[in-house]
Formats: sequence, C-alpha cells, structure tokens
Amino acid sequence: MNDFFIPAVGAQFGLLLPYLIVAVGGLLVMLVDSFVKTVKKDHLSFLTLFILIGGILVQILTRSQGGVVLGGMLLVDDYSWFFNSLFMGVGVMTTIFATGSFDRDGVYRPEFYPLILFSILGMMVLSGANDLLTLFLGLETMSLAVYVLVGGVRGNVRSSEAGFKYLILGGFSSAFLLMGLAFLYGFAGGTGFDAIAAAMRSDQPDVLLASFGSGLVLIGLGFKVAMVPFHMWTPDVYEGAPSYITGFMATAVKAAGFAVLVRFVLLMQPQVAFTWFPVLTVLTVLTMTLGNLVALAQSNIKRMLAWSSIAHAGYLMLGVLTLISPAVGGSEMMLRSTEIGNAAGSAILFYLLAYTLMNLTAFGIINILGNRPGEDGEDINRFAGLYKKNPIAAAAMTVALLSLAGIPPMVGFMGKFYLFASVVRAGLIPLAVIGVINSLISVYYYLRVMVMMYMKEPEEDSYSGTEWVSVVTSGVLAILVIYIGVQPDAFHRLAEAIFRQINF
Amino acid sequence: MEGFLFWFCGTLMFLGGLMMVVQRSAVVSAVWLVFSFLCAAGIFALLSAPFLAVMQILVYAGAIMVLFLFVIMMLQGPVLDGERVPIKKGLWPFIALPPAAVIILLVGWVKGEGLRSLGDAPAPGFGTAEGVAQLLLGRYLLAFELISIVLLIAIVGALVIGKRERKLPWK
Repeated sequence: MNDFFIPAVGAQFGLLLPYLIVAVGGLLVMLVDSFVKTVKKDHLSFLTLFILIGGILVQILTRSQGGVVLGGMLLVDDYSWFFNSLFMGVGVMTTIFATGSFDRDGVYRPEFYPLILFSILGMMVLSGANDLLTLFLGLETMSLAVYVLVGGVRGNVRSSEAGFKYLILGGFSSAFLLMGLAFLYGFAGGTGFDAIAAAMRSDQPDVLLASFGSGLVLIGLGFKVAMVPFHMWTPDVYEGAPSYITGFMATAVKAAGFAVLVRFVLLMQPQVAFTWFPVLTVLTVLTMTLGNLVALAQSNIKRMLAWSSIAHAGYLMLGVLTLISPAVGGSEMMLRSTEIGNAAGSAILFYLLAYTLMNLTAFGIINILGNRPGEDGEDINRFAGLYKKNPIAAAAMTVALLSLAGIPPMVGFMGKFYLFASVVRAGLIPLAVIGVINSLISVYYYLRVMVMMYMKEPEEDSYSGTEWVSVVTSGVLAILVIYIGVQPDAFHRLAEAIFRQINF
Repeated sequence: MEGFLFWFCGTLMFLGGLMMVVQRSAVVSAVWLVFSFLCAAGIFALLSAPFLAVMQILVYAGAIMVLFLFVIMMLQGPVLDGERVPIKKGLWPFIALPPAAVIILLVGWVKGEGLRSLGDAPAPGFGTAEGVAQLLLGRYLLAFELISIVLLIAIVGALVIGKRERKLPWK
C-alpha cells in the first residue's frame, strides 16, 4: 500500500497545492482567530484575502500541468483550473464586501472567514470531481458552509428563517442526489467516473437503471442551481441572507452547480442524457419564463435578483440542453456535432464568467444598502436618487443591470450571444426564440431600478453610503464587465480551449 | 441462505424506517432508527464486511443514537399532539402512485435482470479492520479528509448559531 500512496502524493503535490492552500488557510484563519482576541477582525480579512490571492496565483501558474490525483478521486485539468480561479476570485470579492458590511454594522462574524474558505474548497473539489464520492462530499462541504453563512446572523429573524429553510430543503435535495448516486453505483459497479463511462460504452448498458439514477442526480443538482420546479427556496433564502452571502450564492454556488452539471451530462452521453432531454427542455423553458415573469412583480431588489438568477439558470440550461441535444449526441455528423458541443460548452463557461462578474457588481452595491433587521432594507425605493448621492455606485449598478439585461456592449450581451448562437446551430431554434423573448422581458425590471437611481429625487431614508472600498471594488468589476464585453475574443478562445479538453 | 437473510434484514430495515417516520414521539422514532441500523449491520455482515457491521452497531446504533436519545430527552423531545386528520379519499391515488410506481419498477427490474453480483468474491482481507484502514487512508484519502472538514464546518456552525450576539462597545 505504501508504494501506491506516498510517492504518488509527492508527485501530485504541485497539482494539489491550490486545494491545500485553501484548506490549510481555513484552518489557519480559525487558529489565528482564537489566539488574537480583538473585537475588530481586520487581520482575519487580510489573511483570508492573502490566502485566496495566493491560491489564485498558484492556480494560474500551474495551469499547464494536469492529471488524475489521489487514486482517481480528483481530476485536475483546465476545466477545474478555470472554475477554481473563478471561485477564489469570487471569494476575494465576497471577503471585501463582507468586511465592509461588518465595519458598517459593528457586528463582526469571525466565522465568516474560515467558512468561506471551506466553502470554496468544497466548490474546487466539486469542479474537479472524478468520483461519485468526491462529487457528493464536495457538494456537502460547499453547502454546509453556506447554510451556516446564510443563517448565522444573530438576532436577525429573516436570516435564521432563510438558513433553516435552505438547510431543510438542501438536505432533502441531497437525499435525492444520494439515492441517484447509489443507483449509478449499482449501474456501473464502481464509484469512479471512468467506471461509469466504461459502463455507458459497454455493449448493452442498463439504460433504465442509469436513467433513473441520473434523473435523481439531476434533481439534486437542479436544486443547487435553482432550476424550476426546484427553485422554491431561492427568493426567501436570497432575501434573508446577508447581501454579501447572497452575492456569493448567486455567483459561486451557481457556477459550482453548473460546473458539476456539465461534467455530469457529458458523462451520461449519449443515450442516458437523451432520455432526459425532453423533460429538461420543458423545465428549461419554465425556468426562464417563470423566473422573468415573477421578477417583474418584485419590489425588493434581492427578491428581484433571486428570480432573475432563476431566469439566468434557465439560459445556462439552454447551453446544457444544446450539449445533450440530438444534433450533438447523435452518431451521424459526428464532426459537426462535436463542434456544436464545443460551442455550447464554451458558451456556458463564458456565460458563467459574465454572470459572475455582473452579479457580483450588483450585489456589491446592494450590500452597501445594508441589512436593516426588521425593516425592508432592500426595497427598490432606497435606490431613489442614488445618482446624486454617489455617482460611482450608481454607474457601477447601471453597468451591472444593463449587462444582466443583455444590452451591448456589456459582457452579458456577448454571453447571451454565444449561448443563443450555439443553440441555433444545434437546430433548437424555438428554444433560442423563447430565450430571446425572455431576455427582452427582463429589460423591464432591470430598467426600473435605473429609473429609480437617475430620475427620482433622493428620499430621506434612501442610501447614502461611504463604504469606498466596496464601491471601488464594484467599480473595478463594472469596468471588467465593459472590458470583456468589448474584447470578448481572448476569453472566448480560452473557454473554447478549456472545453475542448473535456468534450470527447 | 444468503438470499433469505438479505430479504429478512432488508424487509425489517424497511419496516423500521417506515415505523420511524410514522411515529408521533421523537423518542420512539429514535428507537426505531436503532432497529433499522441493526438490520443494516446485518446487511453489511452479509456483504462480507464484518468490521463495518460491528462499527455500525458500536458507533451508530450505540454511541450516536444514545447521544440522540439523550438530546431528545433533555430537550423534552416533541410529541405531536392533536387530532389525526384523515387524508381525503380522492387524494389517495396521487399519494400512492409514486411509491407504487417505484416498487413496481424495482420488482420488474429484479425479476428481469435478477440480482447480479457486482464482482467476484472479495479478496482476502476485504472488510477487515486492516482492509478498511488501507482503503480509508489510501484510495479514499481525499474523501476521508473532506469528511473531517465537513465535520469541522458542522461544529463551527453549531457554535455560531448557538452563540449570543456580540456588539462593539461603542456602537
């Protein structure tokens, strides 16, 4: 056993380094917190930022290497490289926003720092999962930390309610996922993804068993990415959680869900994925339409963005559908099909990047509004006259909202463009039309916030913030939103190169 | 004999689980869960994993459930009271349909395919303490370490949610 294990880890140390940095960093932050007894927690914030930025640097430097590590449990490739960098980047922004929020309210949550690191560790494991066990454990590591982050604001009933709701429903969906994983284990006779892929390619795969198992897994993952009809928790949890955590959930948790979802449907190609194609088509259309229609009626900005995040999950599901559509998975026209698959996959990656940037910008600004316990602190009215009080914040918010609505030259437009283009190429034109109509509907509710900011006079209780660190961070993100929107080529090529590696 | 023992333990485990769900008192539920765990230990033993079977009884049925029972009793665990509301007759088919469909599919599948063995007889040393330890710290090292982090998060979470609020003195 020793000869299997010890030299292997020695050689894999470099590949595991980003994971180790985040994991050991989380433990270190906990230790430092228990030894340094100050009420303000700035040192923890700096330490966390240092760990995450170090993690990103190491991750970027080790891109060229890759491989299966730890006895096949974890896959380190360009795909996980992309997502790990994304997660750690979101972690950096969230830490900045959260620290600003702590300073404003005078309530410090030292548990935030280790938990955000552990949650990111879970996501990193999830994006590189190469075994059903790692998939489940990564998902649970991520989710458990987020449950605590959502519900851990003391003395805030909405936060406790949101945390409890998320915990119960999350546990429920995990049960579905676990049952599905058990069926897949029964199907393949092993938990490794390679065992499942081999079973799929065997002469007579047990399609019924695998479909049943993968359907249950899709339910569990659908819950995490807020797909209709597994979306019920989203508005309440997004509203009740502190804004910096909502931003984290809307971006990193959703991206992690899609990271594993895409890997999973690729694994299920072609027959099994195809059994779920009709069902997923209906659910995707419902997700987009319901999300946008209900968002129209919201007056709380966080609820509105929650419904809009459901709609965006629908757009991303369009990409997943294209991946498993008959034109791609079919045996005929294999050359053309792989090409469409690559187009769809790289569009998903690009859209996730775009969505992360624009949503974080928006939540950075919302975060400065503050979570006033017991009041409706996030009513859209509080944006009234923001332009006069803080033009930079108003400008950043405007960029984020225009981008979410998919208006050029923001990155959201390019994301939707690549996505819908791949859907059309796969021949799913009705779906693309529904997607475009939906993004037109969404313009209305995003514009409403902009009207508030620019055309209304400031009211007494409307926001006047001085949290310059958060405002400037959002401003930088907004500049990125415009920059990548104008110059998408480099990033799109990168996404394509990454996806080509895992699409076979 | 193996087949008989499998169905015996499996059926009892299923019934134990069902009884756990339908009980009105949390304490009784917990005891039914212990029963279910004991049956699961039987199935582990059938799968030639004696170490797991023993651990299932010692750790789950023993230590963890005793802890559960203590907590439930200390907190005066809830006993649901009030009238039992009968389910409307028209709703029964909708409630019964999904489980019935699953059972029919499952039985059909077992009849059609038969219960295949998933592999050859286990290698010598499989399922013993040594075999489990080698798997745990070898092939499944990542899972092992991740679980310890999950547990750490759970501890932190329990402490955070149970703790009182602390405000800055000057606010």
